[in-house]
Amino acid sequence: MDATILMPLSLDEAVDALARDPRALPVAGGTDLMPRVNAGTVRPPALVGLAKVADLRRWGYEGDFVMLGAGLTWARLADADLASLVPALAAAANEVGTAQVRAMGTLGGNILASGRAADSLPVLAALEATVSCRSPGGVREVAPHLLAPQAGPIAEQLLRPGELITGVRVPLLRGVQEFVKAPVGGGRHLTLALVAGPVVGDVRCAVGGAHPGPVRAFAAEQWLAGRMDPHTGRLSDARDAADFGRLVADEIRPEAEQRAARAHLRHVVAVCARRAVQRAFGG
Amino acid sequence: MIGESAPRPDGDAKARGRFSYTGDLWAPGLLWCVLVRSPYRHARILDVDPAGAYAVPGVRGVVTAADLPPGACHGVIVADRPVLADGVVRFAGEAVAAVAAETLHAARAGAAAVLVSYQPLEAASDPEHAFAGPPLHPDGNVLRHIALRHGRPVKLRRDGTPVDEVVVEGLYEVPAQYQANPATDAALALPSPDGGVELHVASPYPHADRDQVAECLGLPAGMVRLMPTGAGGSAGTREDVGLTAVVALLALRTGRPVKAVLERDESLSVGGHRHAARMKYTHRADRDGRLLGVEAQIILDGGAYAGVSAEVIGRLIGCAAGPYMVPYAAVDAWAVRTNNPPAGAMRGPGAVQVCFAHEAQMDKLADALGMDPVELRLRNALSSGTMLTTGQVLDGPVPVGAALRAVAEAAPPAAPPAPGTLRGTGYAVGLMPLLGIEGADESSTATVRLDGGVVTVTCAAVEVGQGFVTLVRQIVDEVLGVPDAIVLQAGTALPTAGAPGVGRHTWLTAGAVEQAAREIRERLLAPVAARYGMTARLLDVRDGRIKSYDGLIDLSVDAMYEDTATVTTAGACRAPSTEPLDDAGQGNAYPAVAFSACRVVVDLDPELGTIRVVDVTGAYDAGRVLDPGQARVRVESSVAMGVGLALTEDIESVWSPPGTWDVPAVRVAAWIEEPQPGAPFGAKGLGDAAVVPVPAAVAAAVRDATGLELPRLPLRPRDVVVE
Amino acid sequence: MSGPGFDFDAAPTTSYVLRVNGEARLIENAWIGENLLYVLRERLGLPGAKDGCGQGVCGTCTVHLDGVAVSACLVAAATLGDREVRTIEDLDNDPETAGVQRALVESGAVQCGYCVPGVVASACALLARSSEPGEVEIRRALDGHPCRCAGPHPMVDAVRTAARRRAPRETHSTMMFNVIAPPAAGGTE
Repeated sequence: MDATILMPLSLDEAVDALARDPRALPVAGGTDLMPRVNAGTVRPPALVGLAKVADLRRWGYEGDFVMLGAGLTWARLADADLASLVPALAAAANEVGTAQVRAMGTLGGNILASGRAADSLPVLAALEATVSCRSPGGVREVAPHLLAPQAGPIAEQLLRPGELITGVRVPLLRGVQEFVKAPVGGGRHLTLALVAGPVVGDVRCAVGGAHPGPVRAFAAEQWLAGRMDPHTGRLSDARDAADFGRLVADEIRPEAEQRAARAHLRHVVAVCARRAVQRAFGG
Repeated sequence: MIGESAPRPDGDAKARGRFSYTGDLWAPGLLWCVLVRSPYRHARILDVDPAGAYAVPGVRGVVTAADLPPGACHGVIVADRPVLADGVVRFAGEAVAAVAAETLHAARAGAAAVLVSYQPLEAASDPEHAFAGPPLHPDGNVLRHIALRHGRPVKLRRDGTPVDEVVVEGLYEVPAQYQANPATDAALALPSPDGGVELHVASPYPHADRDQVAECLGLPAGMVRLMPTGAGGSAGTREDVGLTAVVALLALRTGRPVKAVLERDESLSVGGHRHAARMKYTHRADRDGRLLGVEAQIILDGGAYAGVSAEVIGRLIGCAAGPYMVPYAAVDAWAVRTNNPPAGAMRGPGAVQVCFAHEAQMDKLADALGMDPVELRLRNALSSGTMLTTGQVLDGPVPVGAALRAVAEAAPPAAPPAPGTLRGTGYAVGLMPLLGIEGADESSTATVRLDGGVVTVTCAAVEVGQGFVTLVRQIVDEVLGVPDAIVLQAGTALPTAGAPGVGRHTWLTAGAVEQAAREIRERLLAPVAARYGMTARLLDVRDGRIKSYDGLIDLSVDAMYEDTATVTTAGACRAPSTEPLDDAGQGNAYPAVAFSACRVVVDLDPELGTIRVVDVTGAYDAGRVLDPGQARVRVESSVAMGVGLALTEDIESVWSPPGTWDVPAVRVAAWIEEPQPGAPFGAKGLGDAAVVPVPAAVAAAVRDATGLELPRLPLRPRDVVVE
Repeated sequence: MSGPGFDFDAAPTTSYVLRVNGEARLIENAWIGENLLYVLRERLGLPGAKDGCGQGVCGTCTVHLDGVAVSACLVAAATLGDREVRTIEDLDNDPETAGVQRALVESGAVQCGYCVPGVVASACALLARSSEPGEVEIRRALDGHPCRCAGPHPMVDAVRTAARRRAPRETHSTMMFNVIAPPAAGGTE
């Protein structure tokens, strides 16, 4: 087989292949890459096919974390077993594209795509999961919740040349997890993930679709922590949910070219945040 | 049998993936064709240099405007659209050159290597600028203007006192809607030994396309043969004649078969979509809710070339006041030229756009009068013997009231509104002129051949997926008692049957088939009847038996066939004659009009502005339902198309039709079966009329839920948020 | 349409073996970016899967990959390895498929027919994994098959009919088990 197509059999082989030719593009499901290849906007000099790397499609426990292989498909992430472990990710998976895309599209591919439409990233940012980026030198863990979409392309912040996304490391959380996806017109969506951390008051909220990458609402989260009843773990005042929504919207400051579209996005963020917190913590 | 659901003869092959579409065809020595398209909406072409393309290995031919006879233009009504742009491009996506090569790869590489230098010009994208702006084409910017003037303004009541007027006004906008045929335009051309060319194209209108291609290539029509291939969808305009002509030219140049299949984004840019419309309306009514007058100014964006815009304006003008009695109408409708892709005809052309506006006006009027919107419509509804604003008296069935009452009286959806949503209900009624209008002398022919009990029907009509072949078999079964007729499509070997759509084949071609079949029946039954001292008309053929009404004669159908080897008959059916509209938009321009009414119920999330269509209930002026299964499918597809236009399908964002979550199954409140005089079995085409009121009813339902004015489609989430 | 990109000279090529309809097929000197649909239609002479958009939107190119319905235009053919592709040409041999095809024709879902081979592939994949699919499951399985000719309901009705007509089978209850107890760490999926 020529050097332009490599079909590694293991993670090590895959990583070596990418390191040897950093221009080579890794392919798992193809749902993100191939539309661009078909349209002629991407012409891969070489491909590293990941079909035979079984490790990418494994999942397992590691202490208080679950490791999800980058090759798990949306359909697999939505299955009952994984849904019970990471409900917000399963909820996101359920609402992705079409059945054919859910069957092929992978977690790793979606993270690498990383644009506004990458629905996994706000969920991972809320979970404070880390993305494992592997090179022959070792594994680097990158936290999506610390990325800054305003500072430049997310894919470049995530991944260095020659690195392969092998999976994500998700903390096992027992609390509620909410995922909301709302259409905002023109075929675009806004997504919001809200999850409860291990202690009362630890609530994380991340928004996708407002910027070219996920954005956490750290200040709003902190405000919310102060409004939680430490005994019940519920909101002390039902009206706080709406205030939280507004705070999240103020903090996220969604981007859009037109002012009216921007105002609508802001409104949708506020509504989604309010609903998520109401469902999660009453109010 | 007529009135029963029948299976499609092509259904099995299609479901098994064995049915061929143009893109599936192949011929020995096939070359692939890829077009070079303008990235500019408006530009002067300074130079086209094909040298780079010839340097690509595998490229066998490159053609530009210079390879065509001077002024090679096409267009159904006015031939103003160059096959390949000559000196100027008028929309982004217009074809400038074409490359034929041994492989698709090479054709693409060749197309990319053709160097075109452009001098960009200011582009006119706003149709309202067409009037004052510089002409975009030597023919000018106004493709058609009708200034309809009908009746006189009503100032006084019958008792002589001044009328107490209620006036409502509105500005409305409907976007272009993309055809979204699953198979994009494609063509295969084979050079013929006589120097002509054989075309395999999914053309719904083979004769017109053949003639235009021949004209553009400077060939006699007889040297261009067009064989219709399987069509991957058709809701109106289908197959870019320019593409067909280019592929034919390349086949003639190279002496090899040439095939082109458009990419999806090319298909999006080459036009053929539903016209975008801007409409300004003023409705006047008296305090009792009787319409006194309708004034409107309507502009359709025809895009860069004439296309069918003039005909769409001719249809639109009679629909502009809606299916209502209007004593005074002053409607100006224009189709104008812009630097947008040329518009085409899509199911319900012209009528869909104005229905959105006139029905919004009726709701506004009901609101201003404090009257129930259904009651207001019923009070003004057209009925048989009343007059359109074109001055045409409607002599066929006009079941506007019956249709509206049927949907209004249907049970509301059983499920309560989803929690946190606002429920809204909207009504709309629409009308649609069927068949060719304004003196289009339309006819269709068919031959029916009976040979040892096997019936073969040959007609020029093209099956584009609408189920026409099934209808032909049902007619033959009904008349001759033979259920499995073979239906052949003659392409350009028979005289034209016209384009499908607006109910043409349901009426004209079905009529021709019926006539031919009846003649065979008469001829074969006559000797049988004579044996019993009867005439053929007194005998019925059904379920393989020949029976008399008194039951005394009951013979096997074989009795008809025993003495005869082969019979061939020809049938023809002509549309009722019409005349062009005059300068005031008056005249008997429409052979027939069909109506439909629709009630839509939506649940709206007032905060996110998301809309769920909960229920669509329709009533349809069918004349006669020939095939209930097929009729239901026509209605389902029209409703999905209408909901798409109302909610998601603007060309810039979502191009695909609504999916499994986006529309509910249609509830048919009534098939109104008042036979249309002159139409075979009294049946009228369904698809066009069925789509007309749907976008209007969706918008009405959302207005009902929100109280917002909503003058524009599609209804984006941000347009319908209720603070 | 959803074929290879532009640069003819610089397009790297490769040869590989593709498992299609139970056979190993050799693909020689093919551009590495070719999608599975192009390879099936133009190199292997299997035109049953249709080309509608090249973007994974229209669903007309749906085929089975290891028994799952996928958009062939989104699959990089050269990277499939030993995964098993099945197209309508081979699915057509299964008795189960005939039931789906018959139901589609009867329900009126077959009009122009262009989307139908893809719908058949999706429906067969659904019925193979789910003995009695519910309304939501059916609609989800067909959510990648927009249809201008008939709208979405005739095809949904057809799959419901096809499912109802088959002989009842044993049902599995593993899903319930997994919900109750957190699963053990998985091996290769």
